[in-house]
Amino acid sequence: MTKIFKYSLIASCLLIQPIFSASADSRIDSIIETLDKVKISGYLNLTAGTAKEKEFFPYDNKLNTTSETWGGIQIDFKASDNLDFTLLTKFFAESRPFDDSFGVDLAYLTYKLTDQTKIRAGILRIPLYKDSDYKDMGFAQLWLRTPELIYANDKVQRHTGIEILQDFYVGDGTIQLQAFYGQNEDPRATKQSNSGKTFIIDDIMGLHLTYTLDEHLFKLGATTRTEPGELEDFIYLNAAGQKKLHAMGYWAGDRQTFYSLGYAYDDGEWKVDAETIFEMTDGGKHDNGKYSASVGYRFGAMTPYLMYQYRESLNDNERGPGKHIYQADDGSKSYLYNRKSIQQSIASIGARYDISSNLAFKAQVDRFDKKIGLFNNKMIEADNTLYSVSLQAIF
Amino acid sequence: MKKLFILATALCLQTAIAQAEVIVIGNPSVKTTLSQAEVKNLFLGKRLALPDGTKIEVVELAKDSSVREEFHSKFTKKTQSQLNSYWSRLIFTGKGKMPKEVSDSKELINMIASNPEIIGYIDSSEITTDVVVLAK
Repeated sequence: MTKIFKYSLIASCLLIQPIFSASADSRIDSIIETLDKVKISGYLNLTAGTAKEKEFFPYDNKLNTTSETWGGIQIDFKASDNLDFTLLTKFFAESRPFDDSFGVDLAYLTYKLTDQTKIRAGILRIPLYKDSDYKDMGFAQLWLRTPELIYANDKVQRHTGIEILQDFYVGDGTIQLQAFYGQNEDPRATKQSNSGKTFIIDDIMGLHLTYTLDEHLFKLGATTRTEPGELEDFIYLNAAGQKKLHAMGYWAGDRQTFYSLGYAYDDGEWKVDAETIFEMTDGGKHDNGKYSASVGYRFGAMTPYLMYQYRESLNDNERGPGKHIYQADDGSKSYLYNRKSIQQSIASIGARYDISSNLAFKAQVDRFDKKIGLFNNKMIEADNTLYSVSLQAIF
Repeated sequence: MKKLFILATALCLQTAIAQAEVIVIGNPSVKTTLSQAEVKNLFLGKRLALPDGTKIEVVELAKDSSVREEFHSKFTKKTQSQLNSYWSRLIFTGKGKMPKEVSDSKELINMIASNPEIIGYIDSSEITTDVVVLAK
């Protein structure tokens, strides 16, 4: 595809050249040389889904073809032997809250200090969990989508900053260290606050280690940031004219840390993935434990798979009657929680069929169960089923 | 007699097919051999140098080449679809670049003969004195 684009461009240049001369030759050589430094890649997900009951993440009981239909185009420009520029643009069939339907996803410079050491700066992906780096690129994964209970966090996706990638060779294995520091705007905070401020989280940092050996991959990571703003930024007046505190005010300024331990095995036939996540926040916000495991086996172009994921709140004893109440100077009270605990699970069965080497069809059925524990020790239970199909391609 | 001749020809052909195998080749100046794990690491972009530290660029045959399919089946254990999936994870995260491709083994042998930093693979029946075998 890139070659066709390049040759079309060269042909266009030839056609508009009034006098084909020696100087034109050198200009064409120069164009070819420049275009050889450019690499264009892309991915596309076309997904349709419907839920048995109402409301299953972005789906309900109507057929929906837009919520998970998106794509991206990446342009890599090799500025010199050691310096590259990468731009990844992204488009959605349906705009997401706090994310435009088209825009720049990532844009960064990579400077290669040595073959084992790279420094990157710009708008970069946060490698929060094992598959966060490429969670939107369906073709790169076995499943129709990354485990939803783990990867649905879209608040911590990218940062503007700097990172270092360092490879260490250990026998036949490689350990890659990825350390980063940066900032990011939190548009949710901007929307919920009446202060008119733009909220910048200025301390996003993380340290991740990935060890690959033969068919095995182990990833250990920690990422931390503070919740944006201060309590006063999220006080508002309700319809009755009382001062209330938005939920973001309860945990404003608290530190949030994401720990992950992931494993993957791929011998060309068996594909096994497992991951454990702990999301810990100072204060009373739910800490979360998240766990997922999947296994698939390849029969020619077809790979059926099973997946199970589970999420639970961890610090349930920190929430209860009389806790996390904000009393304003006008005497009115705001209550942060009316529930003590939450457990969610998704059991999935699916299959990937590789139509060609860069196009796959996937089908997946997810069974969702939820339990919410209230302060009066009552339990609310709900379940749902989601049916999805997807065409996923790269070029 | 005619049947005997056909049988003998078929046997010879079968032997030749059975003996042909994919081999990893390099410039004659490269004085090392590679294990299967080392070949895999180089062709999956996990290593950019030989075990002795010599900087290396790997070059692949075209995607529709049967030798390429055989090479990856033997050394990386991946189909072309799995390779595309693997490389897309690296490309879209800026952590790797797909190897260059050449259209046929003749072009690859010429490249390797003139550049000691390139390694590739061919069918063993196509080997010439311009290159040496690094792994098989």
